[in-house]
Amino acid sequence: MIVNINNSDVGINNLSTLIRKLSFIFNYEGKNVPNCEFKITATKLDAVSALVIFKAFDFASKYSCLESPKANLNNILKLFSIYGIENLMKKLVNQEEADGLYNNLKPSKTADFFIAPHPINRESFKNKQDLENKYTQFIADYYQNICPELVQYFKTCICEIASNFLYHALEDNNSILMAQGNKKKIEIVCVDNSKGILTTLNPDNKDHFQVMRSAFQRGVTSKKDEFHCGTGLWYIEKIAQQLNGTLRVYSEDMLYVFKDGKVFVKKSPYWKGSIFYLKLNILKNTKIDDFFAKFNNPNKLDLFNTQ
Amino acid sequence: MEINLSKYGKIISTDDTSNTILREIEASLKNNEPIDINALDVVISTKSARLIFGILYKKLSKINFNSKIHFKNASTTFMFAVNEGILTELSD
Repeated sequence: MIVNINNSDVGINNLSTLIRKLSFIFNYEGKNVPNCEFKITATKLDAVSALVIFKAFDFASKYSCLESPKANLNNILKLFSIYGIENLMKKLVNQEEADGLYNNLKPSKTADFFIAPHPINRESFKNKQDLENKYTQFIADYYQNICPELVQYFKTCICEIASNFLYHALEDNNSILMAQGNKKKIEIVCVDNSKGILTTLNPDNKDHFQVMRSAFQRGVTSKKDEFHCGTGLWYIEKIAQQLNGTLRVYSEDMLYVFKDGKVFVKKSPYWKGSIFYLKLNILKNTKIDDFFAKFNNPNKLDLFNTQ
Repeated sequence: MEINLSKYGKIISTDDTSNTILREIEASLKNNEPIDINALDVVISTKSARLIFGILYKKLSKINFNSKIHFKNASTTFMFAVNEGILTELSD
């Protein structure tokens, strides 16, 4: 079997195509299927496509799906070097142990943009502490002179996304959170192979449209007794709404899209786990603070805050 | 008395950090003085807000919480998370 991935299979608008080409991996768990070859001939790779391909190889390696798969490693390493994960990718393609490399991920920036990968590892306290301090500070510093009023919202999105993946993705210790951006936008991506939203939220409900839609409603969580609030996805969507952003979440066989102020929930090719993509635009003179301040109900709680 | 949250990081999102902060606030409350929670440049996840302030609000009750816990320099997102955390804890 040959899996061809070219320019028409990558990019945020082609993500369903890419998932369709890779989802066969999830049927091969433990089967060591021989004679599989990956020809990745795309000339450039966006962050979400990179992480989807990366996680497909991670799953194949971890669960012995393929026997000695072949791949055009030179082009693959070139494509993944942009994101600083080429050595990890090489290990996964060669089906070698890669866990030690996750701690070496580092953000980088040029004059025009930054790319910041970070491991999301539930077992590693160091990674969590780094996420809370170094990683988000790097992104905050980048935007401090560009849009200081929006930095708290970018940090909030990273905080909620990381929190979601840390505490819901219990079976996957090797996810990567990737943020990249420039003066016009920030994109935040995370992909995992854990239980998806549908299985986590309501495994018995066959109405996947309804379950997926409900995941983005305020106060809906599978873990209220573990101190979750069920606010994260709703909150991120509202931030996207205020910043003319885009949110795409693939989980199992469903896709949730918020774009141009509208929500679409559709069937999707199967992905084991979740794929999270958020784009926020850098806008001036937004009313985002006013929007969220109205949810802080001073009459009910009487909280006291001074500036 | 003031507790500067930024010493725990600019983002508070893990259970470990949340529990450490909760313990520090509870220890400080034993002095019976109001506590300023300085949240300058700090972002908190809704889960951490519930773990810290939701639990405290429920334990102290509204009148005691608001007389003893004062937020300082908290951003809109910080206060949103605190509100959400408390309201969720109260509804549970």
